[in-house]
Amino acid sequence: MSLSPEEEKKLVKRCVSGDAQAQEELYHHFSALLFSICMRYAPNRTMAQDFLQDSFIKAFNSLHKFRFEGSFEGWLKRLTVNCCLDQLKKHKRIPFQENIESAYNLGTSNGVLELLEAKSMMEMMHKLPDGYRTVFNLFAIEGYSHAEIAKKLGVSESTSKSQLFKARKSLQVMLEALNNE
Amino acid sequence: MSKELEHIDQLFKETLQNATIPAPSGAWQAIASKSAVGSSAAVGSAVITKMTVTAALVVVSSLLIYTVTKDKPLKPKAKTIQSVQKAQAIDLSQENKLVEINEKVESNAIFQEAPQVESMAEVQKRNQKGETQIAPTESIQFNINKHANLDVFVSAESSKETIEVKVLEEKPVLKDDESMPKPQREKEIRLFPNYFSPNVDGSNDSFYIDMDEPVMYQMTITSPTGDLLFVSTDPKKKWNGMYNGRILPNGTYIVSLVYQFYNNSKVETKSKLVKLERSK
Repeated sequence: MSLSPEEEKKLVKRCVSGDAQAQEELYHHFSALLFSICMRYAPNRTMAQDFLQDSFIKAFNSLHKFRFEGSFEGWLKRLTVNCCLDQLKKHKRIPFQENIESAYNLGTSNGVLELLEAKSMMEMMHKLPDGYRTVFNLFAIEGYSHAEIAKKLGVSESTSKSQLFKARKSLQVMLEALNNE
Repeated sequence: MSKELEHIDQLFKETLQNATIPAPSGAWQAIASKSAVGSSAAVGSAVITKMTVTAALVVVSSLLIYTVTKDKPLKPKAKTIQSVQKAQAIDLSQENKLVEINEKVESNAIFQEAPQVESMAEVQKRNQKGETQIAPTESIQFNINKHANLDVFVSAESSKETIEVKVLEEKPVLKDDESMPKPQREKEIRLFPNYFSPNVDGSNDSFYIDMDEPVMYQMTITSPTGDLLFVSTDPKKKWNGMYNGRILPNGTYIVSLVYQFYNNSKVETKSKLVKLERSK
Protein backbone atom coordinates (compact mmCIF):
# COMPACT_ATOMS: atom_id res chain seq x y z
CA MET A 1 0.00 0.00 0.00
CA SER A 2 1.83 3.06 -1.18
CA LEU A 3 0.82 6.66 -0.88
CA SER A 4 0.27 8.94 -3.82
CA PRO A 5 2.48 12.04 -3.74
CA GLU A 6 -0.59 14.08 -2.89
CA GLU A 7 -1.55 11.86 0.06
CA GLU A 8 2.04 11.76 1.19
CA LYS A 9 2.22 15.54 1.23
CA LYS A 10 -0.96 15.80 3.25
CA LEU A 11 0.23 13.19 5.70
CA VAL A 12 3.55 14.96 6.20
CA LYS A 13 1.79 18.26 6.73
CA ARG A 14 -0.49 16.74 9.30
CA CYS A 15 2.52 15.29 11.08
CA VAL A 16 4.25 18.66 11.08
CA SER A 17 1.22 20.25 12.67
CA GLY A 18 1.51 17.79 15.52
CA ASP A 19 -1.23 15.35 14.64
CA ALA A 20 -0.41 12.23 16.65
CA GLN A 21 -2.61 10.02 14.54
CA ALA A 22 -0.86 11.15 11.37
CA GLN A 23 2.50 10.41 12.92
CA GLU A 24 1.42 6.90 13.73
CA GLU A 25 0.12 6.52 10.18
CA LEU A 26 3.45 7.68 8.81
CA TYR A 27 5.19 5.20 11.05
CA HIS A 28 3.09 2.32 9.80
CA HIS A 29 3.76 3.29 6.20
CA PHE A 30 7.50 3.44 6.40
CA SER A 31 8.56 1.39 9.41
CA ALA A 32 9.11 -1.86 7.50
CA LEU A 33 11.27 -0.19 4.86
CA LEU A 34 13.31 1.73 7.40
CA PHE A 35 13.62 -1.26 9.69
CA SER A 36 15.22 -3.24 6.89
CA ILE A 37 17.78 -0.45 6.49
CA CYS A 38 18.45 -0.51 10.23
CA MET A 39 18.80 -4.29 10.07
CA ARG A 40 21.43 -3.89 7.38
CA TYR A 41 23.52 -1.49 9.40
CA ALA A 42 23.00 -2.85 12.88
CA PRO A 43 24.93 -5.84 14.13
CA ASN A 44 21.78 -7.48 15.45
CA ARG A 45 18.02 -7.12 15.69
CA THR A 46 17.98 -5.49 19.10
CA MET A 47 20.25 -2.71 18.00
CA ALA A 48 18.31 -2.40 14.76
CA GLN A 49 15.25 -1.59 16.83
CA ASP A 50 17.17 1.10 18.69
CA PHE A 51 18.33 2.54 15.38
CA LEU A 52 14.77 2.56 14.07
CA GLN A 53 13.54 4.34 17.15
CA ASP A 54 16.24 6.94 16.85
CA SER A 55 15.56 7.43 13.14
CA PHE A 56 11.85 8.05 13.63
CA ILE A 57 12.39 10.47 16.48
CA LYS A 58 14.89 12.36 14.35
CA ALA A 59 12.52 12.24 11.38
CA PHE A 60 9.61 13.69 13.36
CA ASN A 61 11.82 16.41 14.73
CA SER A 62 13.11 17.47 11.34
CA LEU A 63 10.00 16.81 9.28
CA HIS A 64 9.25 20.51 9.05
CA LYS A 65 12.53 20.95 7.17
CA PHE A 66 11.36 18.72 4.35
CA ARG A 67 10.57 20.97 1.39
CA PHE A 68 8.79 18.47 -0.87
CA GLU A 69 11.61 18.73 -3.36
CA GLY A 70 12.42 15.20 -4.41
CA SER A 71 11.17 12.00 -2.96
CA PHE A 72 10.04 11.85 0.64
CA GLU A 73 10.90 8.19 0.83
CA GLY A 74 14.44 8.96 -0.34
CA TRP A 75 14.71 11.68 2.27
CA LEU A 76 13.60 9.27 5.01
CA LYS A 77 16.03 6.61 3.80
CA ARG A 78 18.97 8.98 3.81
CA LEU A 79 18.03 10.22 7.24
CA THR A 80 17.87 6.64 8.48
CA VAL A 81 21.25 5.74 7.01
CA ASN A 82 22.80 8.78 8.65
CA CYS A 83 21.14 7.93 11.94
CA CYS A 84 22.52 4.39 11.78
CA LEU A 85 26.02 5.73 11.11
CA ASP A 86 25.74 8.16 14.01
CA GLN A 87 24.62 5.40 16.31
CA LEU A 88 27.42 3.10 15.22
CA LYS A 89 29.93 5.87 15.79
CA LYS A 90 28.41 6.65 19.16
CA HIS A 91 28.79 3.08 20.25
CA LYS A 92 32.28 3.08 18.75
CA ARG A 93 31.12 0.18 16.70
CA ILE A 94 33.14 0.98 13.60
CA PRO A 95 36.62 -0.16 14.57
CA PHE A 96 38.12 -0.65 11.07
CA GLN A 97 40.59 -3.17 12.25
CA GLU A 98 42.82 -4.39 9.51
CA ASN A 99 42.79 -7.99 10.64
CA ILE A 100 39.58 -9.05 12.17
CA GLU A 101 39.06 -12.52 10.77
CA SER A 102 39.60 -14.13 14.13
CA ALA A 103 37.01 -11.96 15.77
CA TYR A 104 34.09 -13.71 14.19
CA ASN A 105 33.12 -17.08 12.98
CA LEU A 106 32.17 -17.59 9.38
CA GLY A 107 30.64 -20.99 10.07
CA THR A 108 27.72 -22.08 7.99
CA SER A 109 24.48 -20.92 9.42
CA ASN A 110 21.88 -23.47 10.26
CA GLY A 111 18.42 -22.96 8.96
CA VAL A 112 19.38 -21.03 5.88
CA LEU A 113 16.27 -21.74 3.97
CA GLU A 114 16.22 -23.24 0.55
CA LEU A 115 17.47 -20.00 -0.89
CA LEU A 116 19.05 -16.79 0.08
CA GLU A 117 16.21 -14.47 0.17
CA ALA A 118 16.37 -11.24 2.11
CA LYS A 119 16.35 -13.01 5.45
CA SER A 120 19.44 -15.11 4.94
CA MET A 121 21.28 -12.29 3.24
CA MET A 122 20.55 -10.23 6.30
CA GLU A 123 21.96 -13.02 8.45
CA MET A 124 25.14 -12.91 6.39
CA MET A 125 25.33 -9.17 6.81
CA HIS A 126 25.04 -9.57 10.56
CA LYS A 127 28.02 -11.89 10.55
CA LEU A 128 30.22 -9.21 9.04
CA PRO A 129 32.24 -6.99 11.34
CA ASP A 130 30.75 -3.52 11.66
CA GLY A 131 33.37 -1.86 9.50
CA TYR A 132 32.90 -4.26 6.61
CA ARG A 133 29.15 -4.12 6.85
CA THR A 134 28.98 -0.35 6.98
CA VAL A 135 31.18 0.15 3.94
CA PHE A 136 29.47 -2.62 1.99
CA ASN A 137 26.07 -1.09 2.76
CA LEU A 138 27.14 2.39 1.72
CA PHE A 139 28.98 1.33 -1.42
CA ALA A 140 27.07 -1.64 -2.79
CA ILE A 141 23.55 -0.91 -1.68
CA GLU A 142 23.30 2.84 -1.17
CA GLY A 143 25.66 3.57 -4.07
CA TYR A 144 28.05 6.03 -2.45
CA SER A 145 31.55 6.44 -3.85
CA HIS A 146 34.64 5.62 -1.83
CA ALA A 147 35.38 9.33 -1.53
CA GLU A 148 31.93 10.00 -0.07
CA ILE A 149 32.20 7.06 2.30
CA ALA A 150 35.61 8.20 3.47
CA LYS A 151 34.17 11.63 4.25
CA LYS A 152 31.09 10.24 5.99
CA LEU A 153 33.02 7.88 8.19
CA GLY A 154 36.14 9.92 8.70
CA VAL A 155 38.48 7.30 7.28
CA SER A 156 40.77 7.22 4.27
CA GLU A 157 39.59 6.15 0.85
CA SER A 158 41.94 3.20 0.85
CA THR A 159 40.42 1.99 4.11
CA SER A 160 37.02 2.19 2.50
CA LYS A 161 38.27 0.19 -0.47
CA SER A 162 39.94 -2.47 1.62
CA GLN A 163 36.91 -2.84 3.87
CA LEU A 164 34.72 -3.27 0.82
CA PHE A 165 37.06 -5.89 -0.60
CA LYS A 166 37.07 -7.80 2.67
CA ALA A 167 33.31 -7.57 2.96
CA ARG A 168 32.90 -9.04 -0.52
CA LYS A 169 35.39 -11.77 0.26
CA SER A 170 33.60 -12.69 3.48
CA LEU A 171 30.23 -12.75 1.78
CA GLN A 172 31.66 -14.90 -0.98
CA VAL A 173 32.97 -17.37 1.60
CA MET A 174 29.53 -17.49 3.17
CA LEU A 175 27.88 -18.05 -0.20
CA GLU A 176 30.22 -20.92 -0.92
CA ALA A 177 29.64 -22.39 2.50
CA LEU A 178 25.98 -22.38 1.70
CA ASN A 179 26.64 -24.50 -1.38
CA ASN A 180 28.66 -27.04 0.51
CA GLU A 181 26.05 -27.66 3.12
CA MET B 1 40.40 -3.89 -7.27
CA SER B 2 38.60 -7.17 -7.34
CA LYS B 3 36.23 -6.53 -10.20
CA GLU B 4 35.29 -10.18 -10.25
CA LEU B 5 33.48 -9.90 -6.95
CA GLU B 6 31.12 -7.17 -8.06
CA HIS B 7 28.40 -9.71 -8.70
CA ILE B 8 28.12 -10.02 -4.93
CA ASP B 9 27.33 -6.32 -4.66
CA GLN B 10 24.61 -6.64 -7.24
CA LEU B 11 23.10 -9.71 -5.65
CA PHE B 12 22.83 -8.10 -2.23
CA LYS B 13 21.69 -4.80 -3.63
CA GLU B 14 18.92 -6.41 -5.63
CA THR B 15 17.54 -8.26 -2.66
CA LEU B 16 18.13 -5.83 0.17
CA GLN B 17 17.84 -2.36 -1.30
CA ASN B 18 14.09 -2.13 -1.08
CA ALA B 19 13.51 -4.97 1.32
CA THR B 20 10.96 -4.47 4.03
CA ILE B 21 11.03 -6.15 7.40
CA PRO B 22 8.14 -5.62 9.77
CA ALA B 23 9.34 -3.57 12.69
CA PRO B 24 9.11 -5.31 16.05
CA SER B 25 5.81 -4.86 17.81
CA GLY B 26 6.03 -2.27 20.50
CA ALA B 27 8.52 -0.19 18.53
CA TRP B 28 5.94 2.48 17.88
CA GLN B 29 5.02 2.77 21.55
CA ALA B 30 8.67 3.35 22.35
CA ILE B 31 8.93 6.03 19.70
CA ALA B 32 5.69 7.73 20.67
CA SER B 33 6.71 7.89 24.30
CA LYS B 34 10.15 9.29 23.55
CA SER B 35 9.44 11.78 20.84
CA ALA B 36 7.32 14.87 20.81
CA VAL B 37 4.57 13.02 19.01
CA GLY B 38 1.27 14.75 19.26
CA SER B 39 2.55 18.10 20.38
CA SER B 40 2.28 21.04 18.07
CA ALA B 41 5.91 20.92 17.21
CA ALA B 42 5.63 23.19 14.27
CA VAL B 43 4.21 26.52 15.22
CA GLY B 44 4.30 28.79 12.26
CA SER B 45 3.67 26.26 9.57
CA ALA B 46 1.75 27.80 6.77
CA VAL B 47 -1.69 26.45 6.16
CA ILE B 48 -1.61 27.63 2.61
CA THR B 49 1.54 27.35 0.64
CA LYS B 50 2.86 30.02 -1.61
CA MET B 51 1.89 28.14 -4.72
CA THR B 52 -1.70 27.88 -3.62
CA VAL B 53 -1.90 31.60 -3.07
CA THR B 54 -0.71 32.38 -6.55
CA ALA B 55 -3.13 29.97 -8.09
CA ALA B 56 -5.98 31.26 -6.04
CA LEU B 57 -5.45 34.82 -7.12
CA VAL B 58 -5.65 33.83 -10.73
CA VAL B 59 -8.93 32.04 -10.48
CA VAL B 60 -10.94 34.29 -8.29
CA SER B 61 -13.68 34.27 -10.87
CA SER B 62 -14.51 30.70 -10.11
CA LEU B 63 -15.27 31.49 -6.51
CA LEU B 64 -17.86 29.24 -5.02
CA ILE B 65 -19.33 28.92 -1.64
CA TYR B 66 -20.09 25.66 0.00
CA THR B 67 -21.60 25.05 3.34
CA VAL B 68 -20.21 22.21 5.30
CA THR B 69 -21.73 20.70 8.33
CA LYS B 70 -19.24 18.93 10.46
CA ASP B 71 -19.65 16.28 13.07
CA LYS B 72 -17.40 17.47 15.81
CA PRO B 73 -16.66 20.87 17.26
CA LEU B 74 -13.50 22.43 15.98
CA LYS B 75 -10.37 21.67 17.86
CA PRO B 76 -7.65 24.16 17.11
CA LYS B 77 -4.41 22.24 16.86
CA ALA B 78 -1.64 24.63 16.11
CA LYS B 79 -1.39 28.35 16.06
CA THR B 80 -0.23 30.07 12.97
CA ILE B 81 -0.10 33.71 12.16
CA GLN B 82 1.11 33.22 8.64
CA SER B 83 -2.05 31.50 7.60
CA VAL B 84 -4.29 34.36 8.56
CA GLN B 85 -2.14 36.89 6.84
CA LYS B 86 -2.15 34.92 3.65
CA ALA B 87 -5.85 34.41 3.88
CA GLN B 88 -6.33 38.14 4.03
CA ALA B 89 -4.15 38.75 1.07
CA ILE B 90 -6.39 36.65 -1.03
CA ASP B 91 -9.55 37.91 0.48
CA LEU B 92 -8.80 41.51 -0.32
CA SER B 93 -8.23 40.77 -3.95
CA GLN B 94 -11.79 39.58 -4.36
CA GLU B 95 -14.68 41.75 -5.22
CA ASN B 96 -17.15 39.63 -3.38
CA LYS B 97 -15.91 39.81 0.10
CA LEU B 98 -17.91 36.93 1.30
CA VAL B 99 -15.77 35.85 4.15
CA GLU B 100 -14.03 38.03 6.57
CA ILE B 101 -11.07 36.71 8.34
CA ASN B 102 -11.00 37.66 11.92
CA GLU B 103 -7.53 38.88 12.53
CA LYS B 104 -7.54 38.17 16.21
CA VAL B 105 -8.17 34.49 15.90
CA GLU B 106 -5.11 32.74 14.73
CA SER B 107 -5.91 29.13 15.10
CA ASN B 108 -6.43 26.48 12.53
CA ALA B 109 -7.83 23.02 12.76
CA ILE B 110 -7.45 19.98 10.62
CA PHE B 111 -10.19 17.86 9.21
CA GLN B 112 -9.62 14.16 9.15
CA GLU B 113 -12.16 13.51 6.47
CA ALA B 114 -13.70 15.38 3.64
CA PRO B 115 -16.95 16.93 4.77
CA GLN B 116 -20.02 16.94 2.59
CA VAL B 117 -20.53 19.99 0.49
CA GLU B 118 -23.64 21.70 -0.75
CA SER B 119 -23.96 23.66 -3.92
CA MET B 120 -23.84 27.43 -4.03
CA ALA B 121 -27.52 27.66 -4.89
CA GLU B 122 -28.50 25.80 -1.80
CA VAL B 123 -26.32 27.96 0.33
CA GLN B 124 -27.80 31.11 -1.08
CA LYS B 125 -31.27 29.79 -0.50
CA ARG B 126 -30.47 29.05 3.06
CA ASN B 127 -28.83 32.39 3.50
CA GLN B 128 -31.99 34.06 2.30
CA LYS B 129 -34.03 32.05 4.71
CA GLY B 130 -31.68 33.12 7.42
CA GLU B 131 -30.70 29.61 8.34
CA THR B 132 -27.02 30.11 7.87
CA GLN B 133 -24.96 33.01 8.88
CA ILE B 134 -21.53 33.83 7.76
CA ALA B 135 -19.63 34.51 10.88
CA PRO B 136 -16.16 33.26 10.44
CA THR B 137 -13.91 32.85 13.36
CA GLU B 138 -11.29 30.39 12.29
CA SER B 139 -9.33 29.41 9.27
CA ILE B 140 -8.91 25.75 8.77
CA GLN B 141 -6.64 23.53 6.80
CA PHE B 142 -8.86 21.31 4.84
CA ASN B 143 -8.27 17.84 3.52
CA ILE B 144 -10.60 17.85 0.63
CA ASN B 145 -12.08 14.90 -1.17
CA LYS B 146 -10.37 12.66 -3.66
CA HIS B 147 -12.15 13.79 -6.79
CA ALA B 148 -10.60 17.18 -7.16
CA ASN B 149 -7.82 19.21 -5.72
CA LEU B 150 -9.47 22.14 -4.10
CA ASP B 151 -7.70 25.09 -2.67
CA VAL B 152 -9.97 26.24 0.05
CA PHE B 153 -10.47 28.60 2.85
CA VAL B 154 -12.68 27.59 5.63
CA SER B 155 -14.22 29.85 8.11
CA ALA B 156 -16.22 28.54 10.90
CA GLU B 157 -18.55 29.33 13.64
CA SER B 158 -17.88 26.80 16.28
CA SER B 159 -21.05 27.21 18.22
CA LYS B 160 -23.32 26.37 15.30
CA GLU B 161 -20.93 23.82 13.92
CA THR B 162 -21.39 25.19 10.46
CA ILE B 163 -18.45 26.00 8.28
CA GLU B 164 -18.25 28.14 5.22
CA VAL B 165 -15.85 26.87 2.64
CA LYS B 166 -14.67 29.08 -0.12
CA VAL B 167 -13.36 27.14 -3.02
CA LEU B 168 -10.85 29.25 -4.82
CA GLU B 169 -9.82 26.83 -7.44
CA GLU B 170 -11.11 23.56 -8.59
CA LYS B 171 -8.44 21.60 -10.32
CA PRO B 172 -9.43 18.46 -12.11
CA VAL B 173 -7.44 15.49 -10.98
CA LEU B 174 -5.35 14.25 -13.85
CA LYS B 175 -5.73 10.60 -14.38
CA ASP B 176 -2.68 8.72 -15.53
CA ASP B 177 -4.29 7.45 -18.67
CA GLU B 178 -5.32 10.95 -19.71
CA SER B 179 -2.05 12.68 -19.06
CA MET B 180 0.25 10.16 -20.66
CA PRO B 181 -0.31 7.85 -23.57
CA LYS B 182 0.86 4.44 -22.58
CA PRO B 183 1.37 1.21 -24.43
CA GLN B 184 -1.60 -1.07 -24.19
CA ARG B 185 0.06 -3.37 -21.76
CA GLU B 186 3.26 -2.90 -19.79
CA LYS B 187 5.92 -5.39 -20.66
CA GLU B 188 6.92 -7.47 -17.71
CA ILE B 189 8.90 -10.36 -16.38
CA ARG B 190 6.38 -13.10 -15.88
CA LEU B 191 8.60 -15.60 -14.14
CA PHE B 192 12.14 -15.44 -12.80
CA PRO B 193 12.51 -18.87 -11.24
CA ASN B 194 14.77 -19.55 -8.28
CA TYR B 195 14.92 -23.31 -8.72
CA PHE B 196 15.36 -25.85 -11.48
CA SER B 197 16.21 -29.51 -11.76
CA PRO B 198 18.05 -30.50 -14.97
CA ASN B 199 17.64 -34.26 -14.53
CA VAL B 200 15.85 -34.82 -17.83
CA ASP B 201 12.64 -35.98 -16.21
CA GLY B 202 10.63 -33.65 -18.38
CA SER B 203 9.86 -31.23 -15.60
CA ASN B 204 11.69 -27.98 -14.99
CA ASP B 205 14.77 -29.25 -16.81
CA SER B 206 16.19 -25.98 -18.00
CA PHE B 207 16.50 -22.50 -16.68
CA TYR B 208 15.10 -19.48 -18.47
CA ILE B 209 13.33 -16.28 -17.60
CA ASP B 210 9.81 -15.95 -18.91
CA MET B 211 9.43 -12.34 -20.02
CA ASP B 212 8.05 -10.11 -22.73
CA GLU B 213 10.24 -9.44 -25.78
CA PRO B 214 12.97 -7.00 -24.71
CA VAL B 215 14.97 -4.80 -27.07
CA MET B 216 18.14 -5.59 -25.15
CA TYR B 217 18.82 -8.63 -23.06
CA GLN B 218 21.77 -10.30 -21.43
CA MET B 219 21.61 -13.08 -18.90
CA THR B 220 24.77 -14.30 -17.22
CA ILE B 221 25.06 -17.18 -14.83
CA THR B 222 28.03 -17.33 -12.50
CA SER B 223 29.08 -19.54 -9.66
CA PRO B 224 29.28 -17.95 -6.20
CA THR B 225 33.02 -17.79 -6.72
CA GLY B 226 32.54 -15.58 -9.74
CA ASP B 227 33.24 -18.11 -12.52
CA LEU B 228 31.30 -17.31 -15.63
CA LEU B 229 29.21 -20.33 -16.64
CA PHE B 230 26.64 -19.13 -19.15
CA VAL B 231 25.91 -15.99 -21.15
CA SER B 232 22.99 -15.42 -23.44
CA THR B 233 21.65 -12.44 -25.31
CA ASP B 234 18.61 -14.34 -26.54
CA PRO B 235 15.74 -14.54 -24.08
CA LYS B 236 14.59 -17.80 -25.64
CA LYS B 237 17.89 -19.54 -24.99
CA LYS B 238 17.71 -21.84 -21.99
CA TRP B 239 20.43 -23.07 -19.65
CA ASN B 240 20.63 -26.78 -19.03
CA GLY B 241 22.95 -26.71 -16.03
CA MET B 242 26.07 -27.66 -18.04
CA TYR B 243 29.39 -25.89 -18.41
CA ASN B 244 31.82 -26.91 -21.18
CA GLY B 245 30.08 -30.24 -21.48
CA ARG B 246 30.38 -30.91 -17.78
CA ILE B 247 27.42 -31.44 -15.53
CA LEU B 248 27.58 -28.87 -12.80
CA PRO B 249 27.02 -29.96 -9.23
CA ASN B 250 23.90 -29.20 -7.24
CA GLY B 251 24.19 -25.86 -5.62
CA THR B 252 23.34 -22.23 -5.79
CA TYR B 253 24.21 -20.13 -8.80
CA ILE B 254 23.92 -16.44 -9.40
CA VAL B 255 21.83 -15.23 -12.32
CA SER B 256 22.30 -11.62 -13.40
CA LEU B 257 19.92 -10.15 -15.90
CA VAL B 258 20.35 -6.89 -17.78
CA TYR B 259 17.48 -5.90 -20.03
CA GLN B 260 15.62 -3.06 -21.63
CA PHE B 261 12.00 -3.41 -22.70
CA TYR B 262 11.73 -0.36 -24.95
CA ASN B 263 14.30 1.60 -26.90
CA ASN B 264 13.87 4.66 -24.74
CA SER B 265 13.19 2.92 -21.43
CA LYS B 266 15.53 2.42 -18.54
CA VAL B 267 18.09 -0.35 -18.61
CA GLU B 268 17.04 -2.63 -15.79
CA THR B 269 19.17 -5.08 -13.88
CA LYS B 270 18.06 -7.94 -11.74
CA SER B 271 19.97 -10.70 -10.09
CA LYS B 272 18.92 -13.68 -8.16
CA LEU B 273 20.22 -16.88 -6.68
CA VAL B 274 19.04 -19.98 -8.44
CA LYS B 275 19.19 -23.39 -6.89
CA LEU B 276 20.17 -26.24 -9.15
CA GLU B 277 19.06 -29.61 -7.83
CA ARG B 278 19.07 -32.85 -9.80
CA SER B 279 17.96 -35.32 -7.13
CA LYS B 280 14.43 -36.61 -6.63
